[in-house]
Amino acid sequence: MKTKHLPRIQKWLAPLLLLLVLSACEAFEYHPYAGNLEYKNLTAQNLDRIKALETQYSNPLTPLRFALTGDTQGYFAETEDMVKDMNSRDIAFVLHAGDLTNYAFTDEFERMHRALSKLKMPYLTVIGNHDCLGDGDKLYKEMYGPLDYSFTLGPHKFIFLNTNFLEFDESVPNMSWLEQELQTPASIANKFVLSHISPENSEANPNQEENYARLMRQYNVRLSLQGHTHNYQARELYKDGIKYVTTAAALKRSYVLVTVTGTQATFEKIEF
Amino acid sequence: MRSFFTLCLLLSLSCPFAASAQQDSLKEDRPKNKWYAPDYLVMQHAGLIGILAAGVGYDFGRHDRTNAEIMYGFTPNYGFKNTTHTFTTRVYYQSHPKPLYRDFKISWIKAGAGISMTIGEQFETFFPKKYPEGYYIWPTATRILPFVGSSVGRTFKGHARPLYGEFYAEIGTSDVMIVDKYRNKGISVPDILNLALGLRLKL
Repeated sequence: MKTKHLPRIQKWLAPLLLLLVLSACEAFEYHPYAGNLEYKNLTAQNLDRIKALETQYSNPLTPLRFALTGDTQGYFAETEDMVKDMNSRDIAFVLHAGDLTNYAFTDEFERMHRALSKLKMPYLTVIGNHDCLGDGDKLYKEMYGPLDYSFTLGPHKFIFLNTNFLEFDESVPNMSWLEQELQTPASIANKFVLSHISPENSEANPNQEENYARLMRQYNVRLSLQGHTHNYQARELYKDGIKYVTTAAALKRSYVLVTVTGTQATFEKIEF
Repeated sequence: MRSFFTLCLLLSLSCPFAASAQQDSLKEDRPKNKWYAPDYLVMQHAGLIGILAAGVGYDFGRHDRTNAEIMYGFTPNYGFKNTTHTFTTRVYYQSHPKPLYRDFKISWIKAGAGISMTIGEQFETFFPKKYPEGYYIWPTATRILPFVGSSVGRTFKGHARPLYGEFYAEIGTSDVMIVDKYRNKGISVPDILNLALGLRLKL
């Protein structure tokens, strides 16, 4: 048997290739929904950063400015531009109305966080319907935190509500929890509710639409914030004085900037 | 990281062409096993089919260069979800092993695709009717996983006939990731690639 040896260059290329492959260890992906997350408890970490601003916003007359975005799923180029635009403004924090991913893959969650972590300010998310697929809801809980949660900052309260009823069941959205959260002491002047799907949307829980609108009215919620439709919309949905603001998807190159002064919340559509 | 990937990809793509310039006339076919007996055993780490996957395969076609294998793989629960169980069928071509160094031979290229199926009620093959039409397109239970790679191996002494054992490395991606990449320029090629390592023993 005659063995023909390879030219010298290929002789050292082979081990080199092997070395390169082995050194790129973080590129091993076990499963689309693998649980070996690089980031954990992001909601708690970002809440700590926001809580550090508390003294700054304890006076109700200090204006609070925050941004509302959503549906950044796979739109990395637009998200990067949006992050640059947000970083050029004086914004306390960013709210993300859900749909960080298309199929809730571990890799999608991590890459989206890498893009959003370039924000100078903290960002908080609510789970979107796409983030629930497969093991997505479990990955979301581990990487970000609870699906329903809230926080206060001086006279403001922000409530995050999972409204992905189709991906869960009739128990979503959790209206009794929402009502409990809305019962606030007099020191809270402004309440905001952030969810992925607007109550009147055909993908929202139809049995809770009226209930949701009633709670917003009863507890005088300043703004009901959402995403999902990919189009900007701001209206008084039930002609009861409660404003419902939906942010466009990052793809549409726009987000919403909200300014709260006293008990007034004004908002504008920002294009980037 | 990115440059590593690009280099790996370039190397694995360019080497087979460089190697094909030399002629190797030693394409002897291995004696075949009985039709039902597997031609090889395979074990793989990563590649979206499990932290560890193992299975059996058959080779066929001209000089037995075409391979079909079925593997079971698992991914641990990491304490907050269920262990995933994935069954994968892969079909690929692997080039004839050429002498590399001493007893070692190299198959410069192996290329093909797998189709994986993860079991569990949270993974859907077809989305139920409760979702509006076109709400979700790709099944979450099944992925199509194209890959390219290379393998290095040598012949070992066996009972009935010599065995050929090899180590392989692959660069792969998935159907959804390819579509996503073409939908958005903010996603780079290395973003959608992943690596897998494996062992194969031809019986």
